[in-house]
Amino acid sequence: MYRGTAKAAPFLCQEKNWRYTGTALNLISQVHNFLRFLPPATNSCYSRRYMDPMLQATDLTFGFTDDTLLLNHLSFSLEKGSITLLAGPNGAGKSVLLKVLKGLLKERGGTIAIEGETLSAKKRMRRVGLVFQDAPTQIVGRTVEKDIRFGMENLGLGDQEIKKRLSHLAEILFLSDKLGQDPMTLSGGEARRLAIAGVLAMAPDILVMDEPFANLDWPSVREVIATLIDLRRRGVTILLVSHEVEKILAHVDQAILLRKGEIIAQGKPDEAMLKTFRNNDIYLPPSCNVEDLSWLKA
Amino acid sequence: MAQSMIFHYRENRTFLSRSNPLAKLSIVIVLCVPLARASLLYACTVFLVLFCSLLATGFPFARLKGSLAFFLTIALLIALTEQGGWKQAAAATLRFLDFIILSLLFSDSTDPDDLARCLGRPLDSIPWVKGYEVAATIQLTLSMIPLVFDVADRVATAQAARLSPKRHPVRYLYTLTSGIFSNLLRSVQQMSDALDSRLFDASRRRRGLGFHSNDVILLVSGMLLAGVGWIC
Repeated sequence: MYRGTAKAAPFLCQEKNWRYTGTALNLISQVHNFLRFLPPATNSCYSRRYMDPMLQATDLTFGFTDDTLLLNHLSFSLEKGSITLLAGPNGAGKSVLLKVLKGLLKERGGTIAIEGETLSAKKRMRRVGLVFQDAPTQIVGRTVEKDIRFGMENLGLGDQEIKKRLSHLAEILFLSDKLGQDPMTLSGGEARRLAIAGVLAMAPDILVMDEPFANLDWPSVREVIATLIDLRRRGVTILLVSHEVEKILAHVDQAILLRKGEIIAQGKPDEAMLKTFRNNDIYLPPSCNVEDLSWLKA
Repeated sequence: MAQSMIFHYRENRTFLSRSNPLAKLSIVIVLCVPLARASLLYACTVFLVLFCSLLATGFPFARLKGSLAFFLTIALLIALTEQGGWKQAAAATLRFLDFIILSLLFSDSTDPDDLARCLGRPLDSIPWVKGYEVAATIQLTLSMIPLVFDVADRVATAQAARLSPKRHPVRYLYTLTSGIFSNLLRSVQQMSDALDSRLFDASRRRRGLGFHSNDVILLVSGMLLAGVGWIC
Protein backbone atom coordinates (compact mmCIF):
# COMPACT_ATOMS: atom_id res chain seq x y z
CA MET A 1 0.00 0.00 0.00
CA TYR A 2 1.06 3.56 -0.41
CA ARG A 3 0.63 4.08 3.36
CA GLY A 4 4.32 4.69 3.84
CA THR A 5 5.46 1.12 3.39
CA ALA A 6 7.93 2.09 0.69
CA LYS A 7 9.98 3.84 3.33
CA ALA A 8 10.01 0.65 5.36
CA ALA A 9 11.43 -1.48 2.56
CA PRO A 10 15.07 -0.28 2.85
CA PHE A 11 14.88 -0.93 6.59
CA LEU A 12 13.97 -4.53 5.88
CA CYS A 13 16.82 -5.03 3.45
CA GLN A 14 19.28 -3.68 5.98
CA GLU A 15 17.77 -5.92 8.60
CA LYS A 16 18.22 -8.94 6.37
CA ASN A 17 22.00 -8.59 6.71
CA TRP A 18 22.12 -8.28 10.48
CA ARG A 19 24.82 -10.13 12.43
CA TYR A 20 24.04 -11.77 15.73
CA THR A 21 26.44 -11.59 18.68
CA GLY A 22 24.29 -12.50 21.74
CA THR A 23 22.84 -15.59 23.48
CA ALA A 24 20.35 -18.06 21.98
CA LEU A 25 17.50 -16.57 24.01
CA ASN A 26 18.32 -13.08 22.73
CA LEU A 27 18.45 -14.46 19.20
CA ILE A 28 14.87 -15.82 19.47
CA SER A 29 13.74 -12.56 20.99
CA GLN A 30 15.32 -10.49 18.19
CA VAL A 31 13.84 -12.68 15.43
CA HIS A 32 10.44 -12.50 17.11
CA ASN A 33 10.62 -8.71 17.33
CA PHE A 34 11.77 -8.45 13.73
CA LEU A 35 8.87 -10.54 12.40
CA ARG A 36 6.38 -8.68 14.59
CA PHE A 37 7.21 -5.35 12.99
CA LEU A 38 7.21 -6.64 9.43
CA PRO A 39 5.33 -4.05 7.32
CA PRO A 40 2.05 -5.15 5.71
CA ALA A 41 3.31 -5.03 2.12
CA THR A 42 6.83 -4.81 0.70
CA ASN A 43 8.89 -6.01 -2.22
CA SER A 44 11.31 -7.75 0.09
CA CYS A 45 12.10 -11.43 -0.05
CA TYR A 46 10.78 -11.82 3.52
CA SER A 47 7.21 -10.83 2.68
CA ARG A 48 7.12 -13.22 -0.27
CA ARG A 49 8.43 -16.14 1.75
CA TYR A 50 6.55 -15.89 5.00
CA MET A 51 3.22 -14.24 4.29
CA ASP A 52 -0.03 -15.38 2.63
CA PRO A 53 -0.65 -14.17 -0.91
CA MET A 54 -2.52 -10.87 -0.99
CA LEU A 55 -5.39 -12.43 -2.90
CA GLN A 56 -6.27 -16.09 -3.29
CA ALA A 57 -9.18 -17.11 -5.56
CA THR A 58 -10.17 -20.76 -5.22
CA ASP A 59 -12.57 -22.64 -7.52
CA LEU A 60 -14.27 -19.39 -8.49
CA THR A 61 -17.37 -19.65 -10.67
CA PHE A 62 -19.78 -17.05 -12.03
CA GLY A 63 -22.61 -16.96 -14.57
CA PHE A 64 -25.74 -14.92 -15.13
CA THR A 65 -27.69 -18.17 -15.82
CA ASP A 66 -27.27 -21.75 -14.67
CA ASP A 67 -26.52 -22.95 -18.21
CA THR A 68 -23.50 -20.81 -19.04
CA LEU A 69 -20.59 -20.23 -16.72
CA LEU A 70 -18.64 -17.10 -17.59
CA LEU A 71 -15.98 -18.01 -15.01
CA ASN A 72 -15.38 -21.73 -14.78
CA HIS A 73 -13.69 -22.91 -11.57
CA LEU A 74 -10.80 -20.42 -11.57
CA SER A 75 -7.99 -20.66 -9.02
CA PHE A 76 -5.12 -18.21 -8.84
CA SER A 77 -3.27 -16.01 -6.39
CA LEU A 78 -1.74 -12.53 -6.41
CA GLU A 79 1.46 -11.86 -4.49
CA LYS A 80 1.81 -8.72 -2.43
CA GLY A 81 3.42 -5.80 -4.25
CA SER A 82 3.25 -7.49 -7.63
CA ILE A 83 1.77 -6.71 -11.03
CA THR A 84 -0.30 -9.48 -12.65
CA LEU A 85 -1.49 -9.32 -16.24
CA LEU A 86 -4.79 -10.95 -17.15
CA ALA A 87 -5.01 -11.48 -20.89
CA GLY A 88 -7.42 -13.26 -23.18
CA PRO A 89 -9.58 -12.83 -26.26
CA ASN A 90 -12.88 -10.93 -26.27
CA GLY A 91 -15.55 -12.73 -24.27
CA ALA A 92 -13.02 -14.65 -22.16
CA GLY A 93 -14.54 -13.26 -18.94
CA LYS A 94 -11.78 -10.83 -17.98
CA SER A 95 -13.96 -7.83 -17.11
CA VAL A 96 -16.47 -10.09 -15.36
CA LEU A 97 -13.66 -11.50 -13.24
CA LEU A 98 -12.59 -7.99 -12.22
CA LYS A 99 -16.16 -7.10 -11.23
CA VAL A 100 -16.45 -10.31 -9.22
CA LEU A 101 -13.16 -9.60 -7.44
CA LYS A 102 -14.35 -6.08 -6.67
CA GLY A 103 -17.70 -7.36 -5.37
CA LEU A 104 -19.90 -5.62 -7.97
CA LEU A 105 -20.98 -9.12 -9.10
CA LYS A 106 -21.49 -11.95 -6.61
CA GLU A 107 -19.70 -15.23 -7.30
CA ARG A 108 -21.81 -18.39 -7.74
CA GLY A 109 -19.23 -20.66 -6.19
CA GLY A 110 -15.72 -20.73 -4.82
CA THR A 111 -14.00 -18.35 -2.46
CA ILE A 112 -11.95 -15.17 -2.60
CA ALA A 113 -9.57 -14.61 0.30
CA ILE A 114 -7.62 -11.43 0.94
CA GLU A 115 -4.60 -11.81 3.25
CA GLY A 116 -5.86 -15.26 4.21
CA GLU A 117 -9.37 -14.12 5.15
CA THR A 118 -12.31 -15.26 3.00
CA LEU A 119 -14.47 -12.23 2.26
CA SER A 120 -18.03 -11.72 1.00
CA ALA A 121 -18.74 -9.50 -2.03
CA LYS A 122 -19.81 -6.64 0.24
CA LYS A 123 -16.62 -6.76 2.31
CA ARG A 124 -14.47 -6.94 -0.83
CA MET A 125 -15.86 -3.57 -1.95
CA ARG A 126 -13.64 -1.86 0.63
CA ARG A 127 -10.54 -3.99 0.05
CA VAL A 128 -10.40 -4.01 -3.77
CA GLY A 129 -10.16 -0.84 -5.90
CA LEU A 130 -11.40 -1.03 -9.49
CA VAL A 131 -10.35 1.37 -12.25
CA PHE A 132 -12.89 1.09 -15.07
CA GLN A 133 -12.04 0.64 -18.73
CA ASP A 134 -13.68 3.96 -19.55
CA ALA A 135 -12.03 6.10 -16.86
CA PRO A 136 -14.24 9.19 -17.33
CA THR A 137 -17.36 7.17 -16.38
CA GLN A 138 -15.75 6.61 -12.99
CA ILE A 139 -15.25 10.30 -12.31
CA VAL A 140 -18.11 11.68 -10.24
CA GLY A 141 -16.66 14.89 -8.76
CA ARG A 142 -17.00 18.23 -10.54
CA THR A 143 -13.36 19.10 -9.81
CA VAL A 144 -10.27 16.91 -9.59
CA GLU A 145 -10.04 17.57 -5.83
CA LYS A 146 -13.70 16.77 -5.19
CA ASP A 147 -13.40 13.53 -7.14
CA ILE A 148 -10.39 12.34 -5.13
CA ARG A 149 -12.19 13.34 -1.91
CA PHE A 150 -15.43 11.54 -2.87
CA GLY A 151 -14.41 8.00 -1.86
CA MET A 152 -12.61 9.16 1.30
CA GLU A 153 -15.70 11.06 2.46
CA ASN A 154 -17.79 7.95 1.85
CA LEU A 155 -15.37 6.07 4.09
CA GLY A 156 -16.02 8.70 6.78
CA LEU A 157 -12.38 9.75 7.13
CA GLY A 158 -11.48 12.90 9.08
CA ASP A 159 -10.47 16.16 7.41
CA GLN A 160 -6.81 15.85 8.39
CA GLU A 161 -6.51 12.35 6.94
CA ILE A 162 -8.35 13.37 3.76
CA LYS A 163 -6.01 16.33 3.23
CA LYS A 164 -2.96 14.16 3.88
CA ARG A 165 -3.98 11.47 1.41
CA LEU A 166 -5.14 14.05 -1.14
CA SER A 167 -1.86 15.92 -1.23
CA HIS A 168 0.17 12.68 -1.26
CA LEU A 169 -1.80 11.17 -4.15
CA ALA A 170 -1.90 14.42 -6.12
CA GLU A 171 1.88 14.56 -5.81
CA ILE A 172 2.67 10.98 -6.82
CA LEU A 173 0.15 11.01 -9.66
CA PHE A 174 1.18 14.49 -10.91
CA LEU A 175 -2.21 16.08 -10.33
CA SER A 176 -1.14 18.79 -7.85
CA ASP A 177 -1.59 21.64 -10.36
CA LYS A 178 -4.95 20.32 -11.56
CA LEU A 179 -6.86 20.02 -8.30
CA GLY A 180 -9.24 22.90 -9.09
CA GLN A 181 -9.76 21.82 -12.69
CA ASP A 182 -12.96 20.32 -14.13
CA PRO A 183 -12.29 16.61 -14.85
CA MET A 184 -14.09 17.00 -18.20
CA THR A 185 -11.18 19.14 -19.39
CA LEU A 186 -8.47 16.55 -18.59
CA SER A 187 -6.66 14.58 -21.29
CA GLY A 188 -7.11 10.80 -21.55
CA GLY A 189 -3.93 10.05 -19.58
CA GLU A 190 -4.78 12.61 -16.89
CA ALA A 191 -8.33 11.24 -16.57
CA ARG A 192 -6.88 7.74 -16.12
CA ARG A 193 -4.50 9.03 -13.43
CA LEU A 194 -7.41 10.77 -11.71
CA ALA A 195 -9.43 7.53 -11.77
CA ILE A 196 -6.44 5.74 -10.19
CA ALA A 197 -6.09 8.50 -7.57
CA GLY A 198 -9.80 8.29 -6.71
CA VAL A 199 -9.46 4.56 -6.12
CA LEU A 200 -6.13 4.66 -4.28
CA ALA A 201 -7.48 7.37 -1.97
CA MET A 202 -9.64 4.69 -0.40
CA ALA A 203 -6.46 2.70 0.40
CA PRO A 204 -7.53 -0.61 -1.17
CA ASP A 205 -5.36 -3.68 -0.65
CA ILE A 206 -5.54 -4.56 -4.33
CA LEU A 207 -5.83 -2.32 -7.38
CA VAL A 208 -7.56 -3.91 -10.36
CA MET A 209 -7.59 -2.11 -13.70
CA ASP A 210 -9.64 -2.84 -16.79
CA GLU A 211 -7.79 -2.03 -20.04
CA PRO A 212 -5.61 0.78 -18.62
CA PHE A 213 -4.14 1.56 -22.07
CA ALA A 214 -7.43 1.78 -23.98
CA ASN A 215 -7.83 4.95 -26.09
CA LEU A 216 -4.51 6.37 -24.91
CA ASP A 217 -1.79 7.86 -27.09
CA TRP A 218 1.90 6.96 -26.75
CA PRO A 219 2.90 9.53 -24.06
CA SER A 220 -0.21 8.66 -22.02
CA VAL A 221 0.61 4.92 -22.19
CA ARG A 222 4.10 5.73 -20.90
CA GLU A 223 2.55 7.80 -18.10
CA VAL A 224 0.30 4.92 -17.04
CA ILE A 225 3.14 2.36 -17.17
CA ALA A 226 5.36 4.67 -15.09
CA THR A 227 2.51 5.07 -12.59
CA LEU A 228 2.00 1.30 -12.33
CA ILE A 229 5.72 0.64 -11.79
CA ASP A 230 5.87 3.37 -9.16
CA LEU A 231 2.83 1.98 -7.35
CA ARG A 232 4.37 -1.50 -7.28
CA ARG A 233 7.55 0.02 -5.83
CA ARG A 234 5.32 1.45 -3.09
CA GLY A 235 3.95 -2.02 -2.36
CA VAL A 236 0.57 -1.87 -4.15
CA THR A 237 -0.72 -5.20 -5.52
CA ILE A 238 -2.01 -4.71 -9.06
CA LEU A 239 -4.10 -6.90 -11.36
CA LEU A 240 -4.66 -5.51 -14.82
CA VAL A 241 -6.59 -6.64 -17.84
CA SER A 242 -5.18 -5.68 -21.21
CA HIS A 243 -5.39 -6.71 -24.84
CA GLU A 244 -2.23 -4.74 -25.51
CA VAL A 245 0.00 -7.40 -23.98
CA GLU A 246 3.16 -6.17 -25.68
CA LYS A 247 2.98 -2.86 -23.79
CA ILE A 248 3.12 -4.28 -20.29
CA LEU A 249 4.37 -7.89 -20.42
CA ALA A 250 8.00 -7.00 -19.71
CA HIS A 251 6.97 -5.25 -16.48
CA VAL A 252 4.66 -7.83 -14.92
CA ASP A 253 5.52 -10.45 -12.30
CA GLN A 254 2.84 -12.91 -13.37
CA ALA A 255 0.63 -13.43 -16.42
CA ILE A 256 -2.68 -15.28 -16.57
CA LEU A 257 -4.28 -16.30 -19.85
CA LEU A 258 -8.06 -16.67 -19.77
CA ARG A 259 -10.17 -18.24 -22.50
CA LYS A 260 -13.91 -18.95 -22.36
CA GLY A 261 -13.88 -18.50 -18.62
CA GLU A 262 -11.03 -20.94 -17.98
CA ILE A 263 -7.38 -20.36 -17.15
CA ILE A 264 -5.26 -21.65 -20.03
CA ALA A 265 -1.87 -20.63 -18.67
CA GLN A 266 -0.52 -18.95 -15.57
CA GLY A 267 3.03 -18.08 -14.52
CA LYS A 268 6.03 -15.85 -15.08
CA PRO A 269 6.18 -13.96 -18.38
CA ASP A 270 8.88 -16.10 -19.98
CA GLU A 271 9.42 -17.47 -23.47
CA ALA A 272 7.03 -20.38 -22.89
CA MET A 273 4.30 -17.91 -21.88
CA LEU A 274 4.91 -15.87 -25.04
CA LYS A 275 4.48 -19.02 -27.09
CA THR A 276 1.22 -19.85 -25.32
CA PHE A 277 -0.04 -16.31 -25.93
CA ARG A 278 0.77 -16.56 -29.64
CA ASN A 279 -0.92 -19.96 -29.87
CA ASN A 280 -4.08 -18.43 -28.38
CA ASP A 281 -4.36 -15.55 -30.86
CA ILE A 282 -2.97 -12.91 -28.49
CA TYR A 283 -1.07 -10.39 -30.58
CA LEU A 284 2.66 -10.01 -29.89
CA PRO A 285 5.24 -8.51 -32.28
CA PRO A 286 6.68 -11.33 -34.42
CA SER A 287 9.96 -12.99 -33.41
CA CYS A 288 10.57 -11.15 -30.13
CA ASN A 289 11.35 -12.28 -26.60
CA VAL A 290 10.36 -10.77 -23.25
CA GLU A 291 13.45 -8.51 -23.07
CA ASP A 292 12.58 -7.03 -26.46
CA LEU A 293 9.24 -5.95 -25.00
CA SER A 294 10.90 -3.70 -22.43
CA TRP A 295 11.04 -1.01 -25.13
CA LEU A 296 8.36 0.85 -23.21
CA LYS A 297 10.38 0.90 -20.03
CA ALA A 298 9.31 4.08 -18.29
CA MET B 1 -12.13 15.87 -23.99
CA ALA B 2 -14.21 18.95 -24.63
CA GLN B 3 -16.53 20.36 -22.06
CA SER B 4 -19.63 20.96 -24.15
CA MET B 5 -22.63 20.01 -22.05
CA ILE B 6 -25.49 22.30 -21.17
CA PHE B 7 -26.82 22.45 -17.58
CA HIS B 8 -23.36 21.38 -16.44
CA TYR B 9 -21.53 22.97 -13.52
CA ARG B 10 -18.44 24.97 -14.42
CA GLU B 11 -15.79 25.48 -11.76
CA ASN B 12 -15.25 29.25 -11.70
CA ARG B 13 -14.99 32.04 -9.14
CA THR B 14 -17.97 34.22 -10.00
CA PHE B 15 -20.28 35.92 -7.50
CA LEU B 16 -22.96 33.30 -8.11
CA SER B 17 -20.68 30.25 -7.82
CA ARG B 18 -19.41 31.53 -4.45
CA SER B 19 -22.96 31.90 -3.11
CA ASN B 20 -24.64 29.27 -0.98
CA PRO B 21 -26.75 26.85 -3.08
CA LEU B 22 -29.68 27.27 -0.67
CA ALA B 23 -29.72 31.04 -1.27
CA LYS B 24 -29.67 30.46 -5.04
CA LEU B 25 -32.43 27.86 -4.84
CA SER B 26 -34.57 30.23 -2.73
CA ILE B 27 -34.18 32.98 -5.35
CA VAL B 28 -35.14 30.55 -8.14
CA ILE B 29 -38.32 29.54 -6.28
CA VAL B 30 -39.22 33.11 -5.30
CA LEU B 31 -38.75 34.37 -8.88
CA CYS B 32 -40.67 31.49 -10.46
CA VAL B 33 -43.93 32.41 -8.68
CA PRO B 34 -44.40 35.95 -10.15
CA LEU B 35 -42.87 34.79 -13.46
CA ALA B 36 -45.59 32.18 -13.96
CA ARG B 37 -48.15 34.96 -14.61
CA ALA B 38 -45.84 37.84 -15.54
CA SER B 39 -46.80 40.69 -17.85
CA LEU B 40 -44.71 41.53 -20.92
CA LEU B 41 -42.98 44.40 -19.12
CA TYR B 42 -41.99 42.31 -16.10
CA ALA B 43 -40.92 39.30 -18.20
CA CYS B 44 -38.79 41.64 -20.30
CA THR B 45 -37.20 43.26 -17.20
CA VAL B 46 -36.36 39.88 -15.67
CA PHE B 47 -35.02 38.69 -19.02
CA LEU B 48 -32.63 41.64 -19.22
CA VAL B 49 -31.42 41.19 -15.64
CA LEU B 50 -30.89 37.43 -16.06
CA PHE B 51 -29.28 37.75 -19.48
CA CYS B 52 -26.81 40.35 -18.14
CA SER B 53 -26.02 38.00 -15.23
CA LEU B 54 -25.41 35.18 -17.72
CA LEU B 55 -23.02 37.40 -19.68
CA ALA B 56 -21.23 38.37 -16.45
CA THR B 57 -20.59 34.73 -15.57
CA GLY B 58 -18.76 34.21 -18.88
CA PHE B 59 -21.27 31.63 -20.07
CA PRO B 60 -19.85 29.69 -23.05
CA PHE B 61 -22.55 30.61 -25.64
CA ALA B 62 -20.43 29.68 -28.64
CA ARG B 63 -19.59 26.22 -27.34
CA LEU B 64 -23.21 25.43 -26.46
CA LYS B 65 -24.86 26.95 -29.51
CA GLY B 66 -26.24 23.55 -30.61
CA SER B 67 -28.07 22.96 -27.32
CA LEU B 68 -29.18 26.61 -27.08
CA ALA B 69 -30.62 26.42 -30.60
CA PHE B 70 -32.97 23.70 -29.33
CA PHE B 71 -34.45 26.02 -26.69
CA LEU B 72 -34.62 28.94 -29.12
CA THR B 73 -36.59 26.72 -31.52
CA ILE B 74 -39.05 25.87 -28.77
CA ALA B 75 -39.31 29.58 -27.88
CA LEU B 76 -40.08 30.32 -31.52
CA LEU B 77 -42.77 27.63 -31.56
CA ILE B 78 -44.34 29.16 -28.44
CA ALA B 79 -44.31 32.60 -30.07
CA LEU B 80 -45.97 31.26 -33.22
CA THR B 81 -48.61 29.15 -31.55
CA GLU B 82 -49.64 31.44 -28.68
CA GLN B 83 -53.13 32.87 -29.18
CA GLY B 84 -54.36 36.32 -28.03
CA GLY B 85 -52.22 38.86 -29.86
CA TRP B 86 -48.54 39.67 -30.16
CA LYS B 87 -48.22 40.94 -26.57
CA GLN B 88 -49.40 37.61 -25.18
CA ALA B 89 -47.10 35.73 -27.53
CA ALA B 90 -44.10 37.88 -26.63
CA ALA B 91 -44.78 37.58 -22.89
CA ALA B 92 -45.13 33.78 -23.10
CA THR B 93 -41.90 33.48 -25.08
CA LEU B 94 -40.00 35.71 -22.67
CA ARG B 95 -41.36 33.82 -19.65
CA PHE B 96 -40.12 30.58 -21.18
CA LEU B 97 -36.69 32.10 -21.87
CA ASP B 98 -36.58 33.50 -18.30
CA PHE B 99 -37.10 30.01 -16.87
CA ILE B 100 -34.40 28.57 -19.14
CA ILE B 101 -31.89 31.30 -18.21
CA LEU B 102 -32.69 30.85 -14.51
CA SER B 103 -31.96 27.12 -14.86
CA LEU B 104 -28.77 27.83 -16.79
CA LEU B 105 -27.55 30.29 -14.16
CA PHE B 106 -28.35 27.87 -11.35
CA SER B 107 -26.82 24.73 -12.94
CA ASP B 108 -23.80 26.62 -14.28
CA SER B 109 -22.90 28.00 -10.85
CA THR B 110 -24.00 25.18 -8.51
CA ASP B 111 -22.17 21.92 -7.95
CA PRO B 112 -24.86 19.23 -7.37
CA ASP B 113 -22.66 17.87 -4.59
CA ASP B 114 -22.74 21.25 -2.77
CA LEU B 115 -26.50 21.47 -3.28
CA ALA B 116 -26.98 18.01 -1.73
CA ARG B 117 -24.82 18.99 1.25
CA CYS B 118 -26.89 22.12 1.87
CA LEU B 119 -30.30 20.54 1.30
CA GLY B 120 -29.69 17.43 3.40
CA ARG B 121 -30.04 18.93 6.87
CA PRO B 122 -33.13 21.17 6.30
CA LEU B 123 -34.94 18.35 4.50
CA ASP B 124 -34.01 15.90 7.24
CA SER B 125 -35.64 18.12 9.84
CA ILE B 126 -39.03 17.55 8.17
CA PRO B 127 -40.81 14.66 9.92
CA TRP B 128 -41.03 11.38 7.91
CA VAL B 129 -38.62 12.69 5.28
CA LYS B 130 -35.24 11.03 4.81
CA GLY B 131 -33.60 14.35 4.03
CA TYR B 132 -30.12 13.15 3.13
CA GLU B 133 -31.50 10.50 0.77
CA VAL B 134 -33.78 13.03 -0.94
CA ALA B 135 -30.82 15.43 -1.29
CA ALA B 136 -28.67 12.66 -2.78
CA THR B 137 -31.49 11.81 -5.21
CA ILE B 138 -31.64 15.46 -6.32
CA GLN B 139 -27.85 15.44 -6.69
CA LEU B 140 -27.88 12.31 -8.88
CA THR B 141 -30.79 13.61 -10.96
CA LEU B 142 -28.94 16.86 -11.63
CA SER B 143 -25.81 14.88 -12.50
CA MET B 144 -27.81 12.90 -15.05
CA ILE B 145 -29.20 15.90 -16.96
CA PRO B 146 -25.94 16.61 -18.85
CA LEU B 147 -25.65 12.85 -19.40
CA VAL B 148 -29.01 12.83 -21.23
CA PHE B 149 -27.92 15.69 -23.49
CA ASP B 150 -24.56 14.05 -24.14
CA VAL B 151 -26.12 10.68 -25.03
CA ALA B 152 -28.78 12.33 -27.23
CA ASP B 153 -26.09 14.29 -29.06
CA ARG B 154 -23.94 11.18 -29.60
CA VAL B 155 -26.85 9.06 -30.88
CA ALA B 156 -28.09 11.82 -33.21
CA THR B 157 -24.56 12.32 -34.60
CA ALA B 158 -24.10 8.56 -35.09
CA GLN B 159 -27.42 8.33 -36.94
CA ALA B 160 -26.62 11.31 -39.13
CA ALA B 161 -23.19 9.84 -39.91
CA ARG B 162 -24.90 6.66 -41.11
CA LEU B 163 -27.27 8.72 -43.32
CA SER B 164 -30.34 7.70 -41.34
CA PRO B 165 -33.32 8.48 -43.63
CA LYS B 166 -35.70 11.16 -42.34
CA ARG B 167 -38.40 10.47 -44.93
CA HIS B 168 -40.35 8.42 -42.38
CA PRO B 169 -40.49 10.64 -39.28
CA VAL B 170 -42.08 7.96 -37.09
CA ARG B 171 -39.40 5.40 -37.94
CA TYR B 172 -36.69 8.03 -37.54
CA LEU B 173 -37.97 9.13 -34.14
CA TYR B 174 -38.39 5.52 -33.04
CA THR B 175 -34.78 4.58 -33.86
CA LEU B 176 -33.53 7.85 -32.34
CA THR B 177 -35.41 7.50 -29.04
CA SER B 178 -34.71 3.77 -28.67
CA GLY B 179 -31.00 4.47 -29.32
CA ILE B 180 -30.99 7.26 -26.75
CA PHE B 181 -32.83 5.11 -24.21
CA SER B 182 -30.54 2.06 -24.51
CA ASN B 183 -27.39 4.19 -24.43
CA LEU B 184 -28.72 6.13 -21.47
CA LEU B 185 -29.38 2.90 -19.59
CA ARG B 186 -25.80 1.80 -20.23
CA SER B 187 -24.40 5.14 -19.05
CA VAL B 188 -26.54 5.09 -15.92
CA GLN B 189 -25.42 1.51 -15.18
CA GLN B 190 -21.78 2.65 -15.46
CA MET B 191 -22.51 5.57 -13.16
CA SER B 192 -24.18 3.24 -10.67
CA ASP B 193 -21.17 0.88 -10.74
CA ALA B 194 -18.84 3.85 -10.22
CA LEU B 195 -20.85 5.03 -7.20
CA ASP B 196 -21.10 1.51 -5.73
CA SER B 197 -17.41 0.85 -6.17
CA ARG B 198 -16.61 4.02 -4.24
CA LEU B 199 -19.01 3.12 -1.43
CA PHE B 200 -21.53 5.89 -2.09
CA ASP B 201 -24.19 5.91 0.61
CA ALA B 202 -27.17 8.19 -0.04
CA SER B 203 -28.26 8.18 3.60
CA ARG B 204 -24.88 9.37 4.93
CA ARG B 205 -25.07 12.61 6.92
CA ARG B 206 -22.96 15.31 5.30
CA ARG B 207 -21.67 18.65 6.49
CA GLY B 208 -23.37 21.69 4.94
CA LEU B 209 -21.85 24.95 3.66
CA GLY B 210 -21.94 28.26 5.53
CA PHE B 211 -23.65 31.54 4.56
CA HIS B 212 -21.66 34.68 3.71
CA SER B 213 -22.24 38.32 2.77
CA ASN B 214 -22.63 37.24 -0.90
CA ASP B 215 -25.73 35.33 0.03
CA VAL B 216 -27.31 38.34 1.76
CA ILE B 217 -26.73 40.53 -1.31
CA LEU B 218 -28.11 37.81 -3.58
CA LEU B 219 -31.19 37.23 -1.43
CA VAL B 220 -32.00 40.95 -1.08
CA SER B 221 -31.61 41.66 -4.82
CA GLY B 222 -33.61 38.55 -5.73
CA MET B 223 -36.41 39.49 -3.32
CA LEU B 224 -36.51 43.02 -4.76
CA LEU B 225 -36.84 41.65 -8.30
CA ALA B 226 -39.56 39.24 -7.21
CA GLY B 227 -41.29 42.04 -5.26
CA VAL B 228 -41.52 44.17 -8.41
CA GLY B 229 -43.28 41.21 -10.04
CA TRP B 230 -45.85 41.02 -7.25
CA ILE B 231 -46.58 44.77 -7.51
CA CYS B 232 -46.85 44.69 -11.33
